[in-house]
Amino acid sequence: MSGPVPDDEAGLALEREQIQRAQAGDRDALRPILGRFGPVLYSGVILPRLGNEADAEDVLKDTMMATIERIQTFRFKGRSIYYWMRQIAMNKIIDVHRRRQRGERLVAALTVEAAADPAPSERADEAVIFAEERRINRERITRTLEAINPRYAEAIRLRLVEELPRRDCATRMGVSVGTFDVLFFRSVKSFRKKFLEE
Amino acid sequence: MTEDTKDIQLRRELALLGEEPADDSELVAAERLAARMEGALHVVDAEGDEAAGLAELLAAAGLGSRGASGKGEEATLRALDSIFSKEEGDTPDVSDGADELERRRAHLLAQGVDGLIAGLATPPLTSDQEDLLHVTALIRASVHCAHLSPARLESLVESAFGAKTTSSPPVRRAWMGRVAMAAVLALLLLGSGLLVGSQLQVRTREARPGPIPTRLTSRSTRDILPGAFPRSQTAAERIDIIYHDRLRSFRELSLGGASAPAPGRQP
Repeated sequence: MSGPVPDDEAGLALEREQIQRAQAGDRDALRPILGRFGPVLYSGVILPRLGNEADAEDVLKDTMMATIERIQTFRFKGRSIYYWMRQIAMNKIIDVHRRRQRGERLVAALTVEAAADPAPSERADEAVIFAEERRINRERITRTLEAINPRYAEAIRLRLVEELPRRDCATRMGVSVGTFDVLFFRSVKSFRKKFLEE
Repeated sequence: MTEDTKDIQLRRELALLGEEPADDSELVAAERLAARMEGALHVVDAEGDEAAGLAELLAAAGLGSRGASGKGEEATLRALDSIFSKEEGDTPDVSDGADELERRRAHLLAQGVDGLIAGLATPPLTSDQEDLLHVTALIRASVHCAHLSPARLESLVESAFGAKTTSSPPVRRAWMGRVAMAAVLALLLLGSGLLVGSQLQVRTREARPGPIPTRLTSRSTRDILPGAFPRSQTAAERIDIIYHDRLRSFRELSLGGASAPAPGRQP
């Protein structure tokens, strides 16, 4: 685990001062914190675990509201408040999946992820945190793609990572569009199975 | 199995099929094909490299991996299934390839992904297909970077703060609610009290007599009843007349105001 770098120390000091003001009753002091970490939570944590932008915005708003309401309970432990907010967001994501009855295995997987410490770093810089979140997300997907058949993985890469049209995907894989559809259909089923086993 | 036994079995099979006996070159080619296919499966089994195994299989079957169409595609799918089914317990029936239902489902999912990528509405899907589409959405969101616009972020922050100001923790809200309700009730009571008071004041002011007309002031019986008593009038009747006169004056003052002369009254 890397310790805070000088820039982060300044950032943490500012963050701490803003939190103290908020805890003293000036809740508007939280605005800069929400503005800094809101986009990171949205793009790096919530959307990759919900997949739906409208749901992700709702969860982000709920996370912000919870942060404002519970700021009195936050205790500064030398790391950014981001990780506290992230935990709140993860719990709300699990709530959404439970409500939508997405399946016990997905909820269980998220619960395990939420319980684990997500941050190997104590950085307070939102760009660094975001890069770390992206790495975590890509790793989750890559790990699953590596666990399924390479041809299935290729179908998913072409269609969802490169976002090629079906015709181009089919050409790249040397099959007709209809066959590619079937191949992709099976690919996603295979991915889901492995993803939930992770 | 010895070479002789294999040879006898092959001859018997060919005879049953009505085929010509195989010559040496054909037997060599068949051996090679069998070896390549066996090798391909060995690659799959031993090294888990299905792609290499598949390439070997397709090459051995003379299909190649590109440009396959028609029956070749069916064979490709079947070949894929036969290999993938070693790992994928949930893949559809490998021996049949893709049936019509699976193709339809695959097509719907493809349309759903088209909509997802284009940001358009997705076609109606079954719950399992919805689930698969959700998986594709998760993959996309994880590998692509969807940003929240600054305006949208600002709006969310504002609404979070706005929601905060209107919703407090339950206990506090209950306490504040009771105080607010008591304050409103007190204001209502005070207001209605003031209103009633002011109305009474107005009425009192309106009812307060101005200068009382002379016709209504106290006067002697003689003033309003001049002249001698008629002989036929008894004392009781005369007292009744006086009482009636005073009662009428009282009513004029208290109920009807006293500005106009009472009807039929003599000034």
